[in-house]
Amino acid sequence: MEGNRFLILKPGIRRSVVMHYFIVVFLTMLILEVIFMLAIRTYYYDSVYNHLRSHASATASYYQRYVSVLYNDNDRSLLPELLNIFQLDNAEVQILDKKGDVLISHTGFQVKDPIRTSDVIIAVNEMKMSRWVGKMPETGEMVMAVSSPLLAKGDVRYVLRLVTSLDNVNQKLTSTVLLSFVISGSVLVLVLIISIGLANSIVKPINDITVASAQMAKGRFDVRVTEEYRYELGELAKTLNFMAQEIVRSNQMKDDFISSISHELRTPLTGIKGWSETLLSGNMDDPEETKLGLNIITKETDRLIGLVEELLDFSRLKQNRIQLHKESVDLESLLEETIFQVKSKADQKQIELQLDIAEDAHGQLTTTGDENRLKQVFLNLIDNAIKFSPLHSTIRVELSTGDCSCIVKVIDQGIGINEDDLTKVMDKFYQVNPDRGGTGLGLAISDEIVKAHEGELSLHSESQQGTTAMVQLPIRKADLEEA
Amino acid sequence: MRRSWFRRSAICLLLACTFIINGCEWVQDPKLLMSVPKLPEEQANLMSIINAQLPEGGEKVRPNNSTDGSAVRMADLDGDGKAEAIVFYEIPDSDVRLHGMILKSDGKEWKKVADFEGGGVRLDYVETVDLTRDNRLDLLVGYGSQDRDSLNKGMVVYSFVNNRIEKIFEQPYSQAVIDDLDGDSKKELYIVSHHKGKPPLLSQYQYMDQKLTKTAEIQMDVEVNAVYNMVSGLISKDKRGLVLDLSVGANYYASIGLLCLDGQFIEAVPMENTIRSKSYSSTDINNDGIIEFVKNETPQGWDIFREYEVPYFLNYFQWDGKNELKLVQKQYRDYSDRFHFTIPTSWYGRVSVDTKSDRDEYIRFIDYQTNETLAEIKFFSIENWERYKNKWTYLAAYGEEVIGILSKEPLKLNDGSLKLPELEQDSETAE
Repeated sequence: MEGNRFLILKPGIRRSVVMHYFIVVFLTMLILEVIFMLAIRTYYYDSVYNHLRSHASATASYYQRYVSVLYNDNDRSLLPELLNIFQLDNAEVQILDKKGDVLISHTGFQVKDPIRTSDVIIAVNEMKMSRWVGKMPETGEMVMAVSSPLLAKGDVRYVLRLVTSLDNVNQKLTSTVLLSFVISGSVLVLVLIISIGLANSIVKPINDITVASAQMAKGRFDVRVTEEYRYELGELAKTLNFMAQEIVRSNQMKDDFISSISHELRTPLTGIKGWSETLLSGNMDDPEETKLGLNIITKETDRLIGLVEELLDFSRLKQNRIQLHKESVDLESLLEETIFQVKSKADQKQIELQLDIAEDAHGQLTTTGDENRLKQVFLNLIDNAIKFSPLHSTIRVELSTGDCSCIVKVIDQGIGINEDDLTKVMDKFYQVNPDRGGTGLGLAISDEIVKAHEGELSLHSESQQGTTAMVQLPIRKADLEEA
Repeated sequence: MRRSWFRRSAICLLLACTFIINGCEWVQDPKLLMSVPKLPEEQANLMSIINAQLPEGGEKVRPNNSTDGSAVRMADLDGDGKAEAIVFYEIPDSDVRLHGMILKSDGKEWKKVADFEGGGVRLDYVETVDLTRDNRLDLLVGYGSQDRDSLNKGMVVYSFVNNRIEKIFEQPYSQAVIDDLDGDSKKELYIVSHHKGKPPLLSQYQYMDQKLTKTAEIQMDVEVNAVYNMVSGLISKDKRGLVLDLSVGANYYASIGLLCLDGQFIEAVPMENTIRSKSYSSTDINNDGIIEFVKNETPQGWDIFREYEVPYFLNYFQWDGKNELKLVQKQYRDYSDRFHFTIPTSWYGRVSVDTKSDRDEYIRFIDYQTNETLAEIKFFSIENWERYKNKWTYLAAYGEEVIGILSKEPLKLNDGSLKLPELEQDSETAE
């Protein structure tokens, strides 16, 4: 099975990693190979050329200095002797005239056709030594020919041509190049194997994560990915695990919400049902009782409507469909109004409500916003504070100014919120204690409203010490300019 | 899984390493890889047969004075349309040093068909030409003695018939030429032989009555000591003949031009016109196909000097076919032949050499009418030459000296080449 996985590389990261490695190494090898081939060919050819050249130039200068001066122009008897002077092992020596006709050749045979290769032409015309690599016309053998002009009295008398076979050299080159191909091939295979290993080290975690997330998608949020992978993969694993955890938590929250909302809805309904039955079965003539019953029904219905409104409000806020009627709002009078409204509730728990207004904020702190919505925020905050404060405590409401903002603080001496819960209380449906009733939406809605006013709602709390809710709202622009 | 990769990679690496190490002579000295180029198959076969046929100690020899200096001569001697191979070889320390053999091919294999003994110790001359007028080539061989400059050598003509080699002619000779000079489109053999107490003799041989017969002969003037060169060809625009370079009397030299008409030698250019002080050879100096006669000229003003002090000009003349010689080229040639150059035609009739010139140091060419300097030749030491070489033109190098020339007008040096050779023998020649 392992073997199959190596042989058949399905499209994917493994294959692309292997291919990338392969291509990079292959190209590198190819370039190196070409360079190597050129270099080694140059080395071999140049060495042969240098050998021929040094022999040619040494003997040619010997001829020029000592031999040429002794002979007449047309002395043919010189040629066999010259051939002996120029004799070189493993090369054929030819002596040519200026037309390229071979006057005498080392082979002993007469060469009938004149030689017109570039080396001869350069030797005659430019008086320079040069080489020619090509095929012998008769045998097709690769040879290198080096021609040197033989100068006598300042002119080209003869051309000395040394010809050597390159067959062995080429053979050697071929075998060397083949060998290097084999080596490159094995390096390539090696790299391929290593790259498959490397690719696996990347692909395996990804596969594991994929498997885990597939299970999560199927609803198994208890599955966890190993977080020991390094770097990005580790991060990914952690994030995935965190996601699963959050999904579990928010599910839990939703369940809690549903149960609490059901409870919340049931309580007034029970009251309504109870009173309706009592009224139906009872004596309709007792107006006192009927009035009491209907009052309770109306109150409970209002509570239900309020609950439903709250839910609707929240979903509207979430979808940004709420309409804010923005106008100038005087925060001081707004807070006074709010406190007045909750006074009766506070009095029930004998809680004292204090409104502290900073000196510089007296009668001049205004913000732009929807008065009713802001009132809803403050009502919610103070209501919460009352709900979680013990009897005979004090709740302070402070109004002050900050940097370009007005700050409203609601400080209670209540039970406080755990650090863990503090970050979550503003989530919708979250309730520190789901048994205490309520929808868990109040703070979430307040937060949305404050955000819609470009403000910020934050909570600071210490367990058993009390909680401070702080609302920061921008100061109205006109006021700023005045200031 | 991972472990198995590593094992595999390790094995691969090990294999590669052993391969490299085993292929040990990974880089070899390229010089050792050189080899003599292969001969074409036919020639290679032939050569191996020849080498097998050579007796122990035998070695192929080449003729010294032939236009074709090859050791294996290919010629169709028996007229069967296929060339035979003629090889001469020598066996030192044997009674007969020079031998020849003839090999024939039946289309596949070469076989030795004839072996013959030669004369003398040196192979001077080998030529194949149809002298017997039977449409088969005959083999002419000149055998020489140990002494290179000996006057007479032996000329033997062989005929090869029915795989047998037959000697059909034998004569002593000093110079030999084969040509058709009488216009009958048959080749004749011309031989110069030297005789003690007598001037040299030029003879013409033609094949008549089944043998090579002497058909004409002419004796040189009594003053002639020797013929040191003989060439045949066009000696005027339309006449073919012989030019003989002679050493005459007390150390001077001359040439004669001979035509051969109706079995008679006719002296076309007498030797009086070409008397010179050195043994220059007549040759076709300007490559127009006509042989030029050569003669010294004493520069203006040098008459009073001793002969050996005179910086002679060398004039090449062409015969006009009647009785005039026309100057076609003028050269200045060093007395010990270290260099020469061709004098431009514009200098003709006015050039001379300043009499204060020293032939081994400095030569000044002047217009003798105006005494204007035309050119200078100077001998430089190699170090000095480095300083002058940009201005002066390289002429020749001799031993420790470089000879340069400075001329007002561009010269055609030597054979007409204007280019400068590299002086330093080790100069890098770029490809």
